[in-house]
Amino acid sequence: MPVSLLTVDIQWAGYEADKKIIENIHFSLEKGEIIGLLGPNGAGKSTIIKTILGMVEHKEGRIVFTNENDYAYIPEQPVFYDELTLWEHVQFLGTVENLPEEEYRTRAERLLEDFRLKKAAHRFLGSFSKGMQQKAMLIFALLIKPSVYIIDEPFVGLDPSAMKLFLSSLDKVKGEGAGILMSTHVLDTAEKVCDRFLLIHEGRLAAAGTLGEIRRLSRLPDGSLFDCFHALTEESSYDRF
Amino acid sequence: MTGFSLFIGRLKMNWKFQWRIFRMIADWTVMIYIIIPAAVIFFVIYRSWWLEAPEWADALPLSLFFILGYIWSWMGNVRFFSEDGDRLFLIRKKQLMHSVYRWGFVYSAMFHACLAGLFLLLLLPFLLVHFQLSGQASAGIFLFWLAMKYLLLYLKFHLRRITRKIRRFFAGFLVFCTTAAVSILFYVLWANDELAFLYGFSAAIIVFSVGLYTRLLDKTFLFEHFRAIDREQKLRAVGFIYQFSLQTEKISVIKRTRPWLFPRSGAIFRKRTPVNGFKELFLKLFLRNKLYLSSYMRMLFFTAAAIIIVPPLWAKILIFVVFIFMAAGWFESVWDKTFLKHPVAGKYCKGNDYFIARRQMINRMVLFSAASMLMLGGGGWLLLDLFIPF
Repeated sequence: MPVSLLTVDIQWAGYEADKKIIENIHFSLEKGEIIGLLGPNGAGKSTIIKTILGMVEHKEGRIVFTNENDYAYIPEQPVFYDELTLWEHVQFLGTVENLPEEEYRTRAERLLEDFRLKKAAHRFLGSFSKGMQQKAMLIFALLIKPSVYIIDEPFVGLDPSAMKLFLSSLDKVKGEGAGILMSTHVLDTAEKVCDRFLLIHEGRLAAAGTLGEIRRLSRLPDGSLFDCFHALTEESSYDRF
Repeated sequence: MTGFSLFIGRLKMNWKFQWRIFRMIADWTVMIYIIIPAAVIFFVIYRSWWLEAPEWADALPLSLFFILGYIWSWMGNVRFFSEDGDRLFLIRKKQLMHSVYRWGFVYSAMFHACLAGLFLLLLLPFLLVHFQLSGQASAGIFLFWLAMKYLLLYLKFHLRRITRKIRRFFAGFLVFCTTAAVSILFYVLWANDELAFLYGFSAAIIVFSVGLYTRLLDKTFLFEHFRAIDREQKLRAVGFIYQFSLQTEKISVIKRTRPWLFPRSGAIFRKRTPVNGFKELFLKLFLRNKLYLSSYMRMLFFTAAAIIIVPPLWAKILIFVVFIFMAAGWFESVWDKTFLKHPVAGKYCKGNDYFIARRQMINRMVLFSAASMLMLGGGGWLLLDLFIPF
């Protein structure tokens, strides 16, 4: 029986009391599963993520993490403390997460080595390039080994080797039983790595399921995720007329 | 659309932006209780200077007007009124873009001239009434300020373009020494009453500097430099106004790649606990954030000065007590800003460790501030009492 790490039941949510941005979003994230949150620009993907993180003021519904606070969020735009070095961020996370010193040091050094940021460990993150900052965000998430990863547009700004490393890291944490919710526009990669997909269109769940189910819904038995995505979003756009 | 109309539109937008920033800290209560009374008191004092110069003016050397003018010349920059979007759109219409920059330069040159005029107006009671100088001699000081300002605007632009830090430092040092020598020459001319020569020298520097600067404005490859200077100027004005507000979000731009303090990311606390983790982050952030540090120093030194200057003992104690409450409120606000809404630390702010760290850190910072105040304010007061008894 699948074990839910995160259950999302959003009736509606928005930034103003009388303006609904997303409606009827219901899904759960299981252990060892990667869900791809897909949708065109302005569909409401980021609002769904923000609602899950409790950053949207007006909402009706329920968000349940099986283990409270046991998640890592990787935003699309890297956020960090301008006044701290990369290593000081790592130290802070290791300390407040109560990780044993030896364990977090070994893990952090390995991650810095893998993502080729070891030489920049004592530099301010503000002096990094966008790609390096994005790598640092991934390191912070992978360091604390949470049971749920919420990732917003993870492939933006990563060079090919960092992308490969990131995907293999995802595979590894998935194998260890973590659940991953990933919002992305890169459909080719999403098709390869995600187990299920949530297609968001105009703030609603237009389709949900595995690639096979999405193909059935879009009536494209051999279609790629890219083709299915277009078929479904265009169909829902036509439905309005 | 002409370059002038585009410039006027951007100028208006800029003034509206600056006004909104100003209004964020100066609401009607601040206006009524602080700004308007301060303006009235200043006007009364200023008027009294025209009738009789204050006693402390006796101690002022005439060279001070040149030294202050020279220091002022190093401040400020040109506003080009460029926007990030120009990179995409205006760069294809070079004439229009250059025209906006030229108008921006004219505006900046006039703005600095008005500012120099305002300083002169403030100092005129001292120059004319106290030192009994002629109008021509006062005009000489004004021209010196203006010449040095325009010369340094031009030289600073080139200094900024030097990418290597060491080379920039030595070039900056050379410019500092040379322009300081020029300033001394100005003073010698002025002190020897060689005013005609001083006027000519100033005019030549003004024409030379303005001419060379305007030639730069047509160079499209300097766009990124113009944009960087403009952005810096806009944020500097914002930062300056925000200095006066405890609640408003501070903008601090760190240009260094590595920290001075703890360059190898060394730990402050030997014992690794979540409580110490929060405290360490706060301390490092506080010590490395220029705006926090300068706000704190200003609060400390202004209050110490008030304690030293205000005569009755009860008033000194009252100021000290108010300072303690103010410091506690300020540290609480900085702490909350550091953690509560920050995506990295925000999710850890619900546990006991966070609240224990908050209480311990704020208490210690307030205790440290109280001890510093006793040393600065109390010590200063005792010293003053010992050496200047009145």
